[in-house]
Amino acid sequence: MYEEKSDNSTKKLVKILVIVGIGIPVLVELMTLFNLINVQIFEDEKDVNSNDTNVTEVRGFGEGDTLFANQESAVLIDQLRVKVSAQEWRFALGITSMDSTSQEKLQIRVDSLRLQSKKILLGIDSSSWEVRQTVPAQIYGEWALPNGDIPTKLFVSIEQQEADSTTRVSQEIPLHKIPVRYNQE
Amino acid sequence: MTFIHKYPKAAKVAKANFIVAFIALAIGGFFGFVQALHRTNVFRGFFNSGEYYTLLTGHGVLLALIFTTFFIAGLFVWGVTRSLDREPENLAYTWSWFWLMTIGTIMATVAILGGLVPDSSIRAAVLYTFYPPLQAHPLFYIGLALVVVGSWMAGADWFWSYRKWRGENPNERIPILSFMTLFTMLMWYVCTIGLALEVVGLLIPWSLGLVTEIEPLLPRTLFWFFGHAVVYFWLLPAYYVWYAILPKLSGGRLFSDSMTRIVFIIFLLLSTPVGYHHQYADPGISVGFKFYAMASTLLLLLPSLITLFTVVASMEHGARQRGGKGYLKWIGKLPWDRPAFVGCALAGIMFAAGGFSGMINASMNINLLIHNTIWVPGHFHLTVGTAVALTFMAITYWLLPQLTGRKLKHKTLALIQPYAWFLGMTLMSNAMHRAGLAGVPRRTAEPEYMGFEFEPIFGTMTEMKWQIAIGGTILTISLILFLWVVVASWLAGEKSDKPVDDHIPEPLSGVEHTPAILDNMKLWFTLALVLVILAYAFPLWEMVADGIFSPGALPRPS
Amino acid sequence: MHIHKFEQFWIKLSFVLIAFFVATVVYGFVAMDLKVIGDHATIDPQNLADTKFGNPGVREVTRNGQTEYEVYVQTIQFAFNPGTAQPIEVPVDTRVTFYITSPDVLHGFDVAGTNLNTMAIPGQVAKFTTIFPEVREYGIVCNEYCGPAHHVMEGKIKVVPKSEFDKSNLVE
Repeated sequence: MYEEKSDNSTKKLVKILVIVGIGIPVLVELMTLFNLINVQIFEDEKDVNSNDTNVTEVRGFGEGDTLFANQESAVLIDQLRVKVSAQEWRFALGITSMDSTSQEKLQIRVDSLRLQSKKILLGIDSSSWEVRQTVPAQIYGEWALPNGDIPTKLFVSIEQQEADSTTRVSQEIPLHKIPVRYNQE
Repeated sequence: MTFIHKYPKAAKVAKANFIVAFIALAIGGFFGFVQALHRTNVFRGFFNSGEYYTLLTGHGVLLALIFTTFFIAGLFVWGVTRSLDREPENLAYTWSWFWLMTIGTIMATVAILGGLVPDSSIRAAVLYTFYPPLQAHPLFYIGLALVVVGSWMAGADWFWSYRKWRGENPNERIPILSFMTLFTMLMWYVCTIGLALEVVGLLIPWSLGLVTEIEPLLPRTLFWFFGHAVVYFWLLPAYYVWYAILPKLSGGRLFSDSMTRIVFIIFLLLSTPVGYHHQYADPGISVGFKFYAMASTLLLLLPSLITLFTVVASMEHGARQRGGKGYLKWIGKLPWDRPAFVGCALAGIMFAAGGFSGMINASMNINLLIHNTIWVPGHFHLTVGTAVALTFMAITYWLLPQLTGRKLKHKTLALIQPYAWFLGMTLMSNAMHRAGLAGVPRRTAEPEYMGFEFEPIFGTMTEMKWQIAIGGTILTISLILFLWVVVASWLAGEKSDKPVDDHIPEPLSGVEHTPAILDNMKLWFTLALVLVILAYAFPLWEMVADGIFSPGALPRPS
Repeated sequence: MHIHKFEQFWIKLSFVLIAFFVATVVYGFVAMDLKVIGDHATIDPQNLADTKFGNPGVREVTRNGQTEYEVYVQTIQFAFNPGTAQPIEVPVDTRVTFYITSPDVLHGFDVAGTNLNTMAIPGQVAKFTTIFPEVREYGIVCNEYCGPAHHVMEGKIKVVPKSEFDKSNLVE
């Protein structure tokens, strides 16, 4: 008695809604069913290893690797880690100079850091982004990261001061699998 | 005359519950949208991956616990008042449980959202399962405890009405709407024993620092004591709608009163002793108990299959009343232009699909293939995310006019809404199930790994990812439509004495055919407790025997 | 009580379906050896150093005259040890038993795309045995939320031909 008879425009709308709102879902499910059966019955075991060779692993740097290996003043990454706690994510980096003769006038500097989110954190903007030390050539620094972000590339440069000239060498360091650990402090 | 005119006090209570429910739905739904885009890497600009877990906690708590509980409270206030024909016994009491639940909700929400404030120490990124030793702020646990205590008081309120009514009507059968309410609440009392023991007995003292160590397996087990039955606490009110109201919306009558009661009794008996089926992959619980839980779980298929029969039969009866003919042609005669009907019917169809993926989950050794993969949220977005949520939204279109005395506005938008939900959910859930088969985990901000690639059985990861993102977006649009229709109708709907046809006809096979023993609440409640003791006494004793807090782990802030 | 004859038929059919599902699981258990994780042992999560988990890795054992391997894995926030820093290397077609536990919070240990899938719960030792049938690499995913960097927790299993299996990495 309260049924307002639906007019023609409503009927048309219902038709469209049924086709789109129910038709597409039924189609999606039928396609899934078809594919499942197809894979199960008609396709031979997929050679799962075939595509593995295509993924060439980009070898990045990690803990224990040497930077500026072809320079006179090679340095070693002795710590590389993302420290995570409930409140913050921090990137920790420790570098040691390997050659004791050249270390006196060595300056190491983290220029910038490229993150997974493609953001770039610059070294020059804030002093905390700088590791600048001359002697001894063992340095350690920590930087706050945006929560959830991980560095993928590090841009480091060293400055070697000779008698009256300064050689500056920069290196781009792709990072490989930085250990991410809970920070208990 | 409609509900608000006959029972203005109860209408006010029901409306207050709906307001909280819909606010929770809006916030939780928005978080869901953000997650759908973040997880799939379509857009990660809203929040960062560390904050993702705060959003995920908010999504789970606000939708699965808050939206459902408040909506159910509103729905049951409506049903009990109407079927017993009496206003709440004591309004001060009624409002006290509402405010207790609301305060609890605010406390828990503040604790969760604190995680979005930099350097805040009030955090609760523990997800809605809050497994220790990950620790949330005490506010979170205390808030949730208040919500549960409030829900107990609400249940007591309805039992109070029932006792008063029984005093005046000693020989009548329990009206079906009240029967379903009371049995749902009996089940709720059984299952929340586990949650109360966990939260009040273990987690609150532990989060306050009164004890330092905690044994992770014990609270986890107590959580799942509660955690599967809570699923039925959401689902039974949807069944309540399908049994009591959907037949009417399709133009017919309920098929069988006695089968309805039997179904609710089976749920009371079997909902709780099945909790171990969430712990098939847990060490520390023997295979025998897991097997017992599996057998009970599969037996729970029975009441759902009976429901399928009864609901479809009732709808067919309705369609034939409207002139439907043939074996299947009658389906076309159903009112596919009525939002309330369409929502309930589509929700029911989706529940059937969710039931089948649930059977995979329940099958112990098959489960290991998909345990904790994105298959699982794919499954429960069909059940709680559609069967329950879409039914609640759809029935709002029918209830709201009764509670406000205003006609529904924007009927076209309201009609589009359930179809859009169905489309969006199919796209999203289908891809989640498929990705789960490839091993993609649930509960992660970035399901991309450096060392390996997932190998889907067919299709590509990219295609699934887009299907999830597009499905999630359509769901969000559908949710916005719903909220818009509700707000507009509530504030500006046309006032009317009879804003909707609220008559509910008698069942085809009525209460006169129903055996009296089905109404014996003491019997069924006792039996339910016995089954729970059989399932849980021994394994819980094993866990507690070596000390309640041992082997103990130290807390980790979340 | 009145139950319609179609409904009676439907209920019978439902019982058949339920019996079929239970039978499927039992068949998997008995005939295909698809077991689930059970109750193995408890352990003090704060003192793993004194146990075999203190020196995690692959061990060689002889059982019934057969050479088998045992793998002890600690799941920590946010790595598998071993598994993350270096892959777990095991030979193909050999019985391998995994023992997994966690010193901190709940984790998952899921060999992606397979049914090797267990929870790692502090205080409990998860134990399961498998035989890897083919030479390939598998990813290990932590599939239980374990904290803010949960999503970076991953590892690798490398299944190698028996002849190429390098025993110098075994732990004692």
